[in-house]
Amino acid sequence: MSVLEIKGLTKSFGGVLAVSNVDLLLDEGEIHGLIGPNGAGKTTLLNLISGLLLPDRGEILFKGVNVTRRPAFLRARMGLARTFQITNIFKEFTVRTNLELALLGRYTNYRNLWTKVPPSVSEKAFAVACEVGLTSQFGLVAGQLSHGEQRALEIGLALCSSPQLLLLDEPLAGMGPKESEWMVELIRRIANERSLTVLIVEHDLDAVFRLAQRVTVMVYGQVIASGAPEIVRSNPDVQQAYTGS
Amino acid sequence: MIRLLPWLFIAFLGVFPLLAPGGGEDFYVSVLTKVMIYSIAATSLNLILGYGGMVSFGHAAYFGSASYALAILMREGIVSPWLLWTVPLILSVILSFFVGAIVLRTKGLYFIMITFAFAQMMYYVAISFKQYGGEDGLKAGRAHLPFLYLDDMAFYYVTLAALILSLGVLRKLLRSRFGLVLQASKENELRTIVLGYNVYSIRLIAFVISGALAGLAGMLMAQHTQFVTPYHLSWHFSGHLIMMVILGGAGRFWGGVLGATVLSGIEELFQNLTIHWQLFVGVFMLAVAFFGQGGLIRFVGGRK
Repeated sequence: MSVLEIKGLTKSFGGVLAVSNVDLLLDEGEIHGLIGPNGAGKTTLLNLISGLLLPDRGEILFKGVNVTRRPAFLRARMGLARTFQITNIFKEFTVRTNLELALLGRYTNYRNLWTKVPPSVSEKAFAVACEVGLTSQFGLVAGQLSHGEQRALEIGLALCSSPQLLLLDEPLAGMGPKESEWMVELIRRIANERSLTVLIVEHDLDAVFRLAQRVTVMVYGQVIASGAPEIVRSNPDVQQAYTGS
Repeated sequence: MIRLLPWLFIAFLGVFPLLAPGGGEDFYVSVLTKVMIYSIAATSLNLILGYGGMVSFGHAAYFGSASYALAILMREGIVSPWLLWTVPLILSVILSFFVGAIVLRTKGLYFIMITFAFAQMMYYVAISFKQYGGEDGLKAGRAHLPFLYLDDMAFYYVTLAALILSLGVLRKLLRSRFGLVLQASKENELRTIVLGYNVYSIRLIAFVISGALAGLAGMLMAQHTQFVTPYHLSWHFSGHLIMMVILGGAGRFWGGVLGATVLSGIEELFQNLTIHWQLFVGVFMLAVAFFGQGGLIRFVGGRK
């Protein structure tokens, strides 16, 4: 069964087609790469899928349910999690509070006016910190972490809802080669252990081709190629889009 | 030590009327009653402004309409303490729910303007009813309890109890799961949404609780002065409350109490010296803006 199915999705901003008639199928458990030059509409597509933008036309089915017009928070509750191009965490809270907060909605009634975070949630928060390698930073304020650690925390936040689909927007942006290597391994391990479906937008093509089972290429809002990494890599249209020749 | 200061202040409030030369009739007992009422109102605003990031420029609406509701009930001959103590509160809950449900669909400047507009509507409604005093205000009185006759002394302690209750509610809320999500939505709204939280409903709950506490303060004010004035529905008063919160420390637990106390103190101090006392308030606000970002509470080591 496909976890995510997109049919004819279209979104324009003031006459400019950012996403144009895009079809996409994500199979359960696959890591799917989404690549393309700057301005190809990759981030717009992620925003449409997660519900931060509403499309002009087309449909989005998540786990077989039509969620095209559903608000973002409800899609998140259904098991759709994401990270952002620019690190998006609660910088003034500790790593622990960040994770506890992210876990509340899944394990408790988050509108409870009188009760504190239960200890079971704190334990789960520590388990997630282990998973993304932040145990020694557990008590630190998130804003003080290194760039790479902050990115890892953001992935940790996304994992807290036990999602079935994880959207990653340039998780390697701004990282050195060593950090990148570590992050690629982290993503691969998490996807494996949790049998997650991952849609990853990334400019580091080597990383994408190593991680992904399938790759989709977007240019000017349209999908120009989709398939196994080696087939996409040798596609002449893709080569032209990247080299401009 | 410094953390004890706010509690010492509460303890001071507790013993003051017993030590004051004039007992319950003392002028300063009356001043402190007003300070405590404003502290409740500022604390209620602090919940949504300081912790929820919602700059309500119409907080007078909930304070003032509860004041008016009490005075109007009395004017209509209602004497039941149960009705007098509950109807104004219920009214401010309904009003803040209604306003909140609408304004929380807007953001930033629009949020400020629409909260402002609703409060102005309430103001003009109030002054248009000539039988309820119009611009002159309306006589009110004490809603005596079955077991307690509210002379000035008793009323002082009722107000103190209301202040402690409000602070207790605030503390409990902020440490709850709801409070965590509320503070998260201020710190990073987008992240809070994509974690699966209904930020709108969280904010609406906060807005209504804040409106109810402001209504409590408004009811107390009508009984304290035994009079209601349209000033307490006006945008001047809304601005006054915002000043108290920012002066004291937005998003700091004692910020509302400190701001209300200091601002009322300056008012009492300077209005006896000069009719231009607001000039001094202005200078003081400037000094705080330049040297004390985060509010005066920073200087006494206040915590979040």
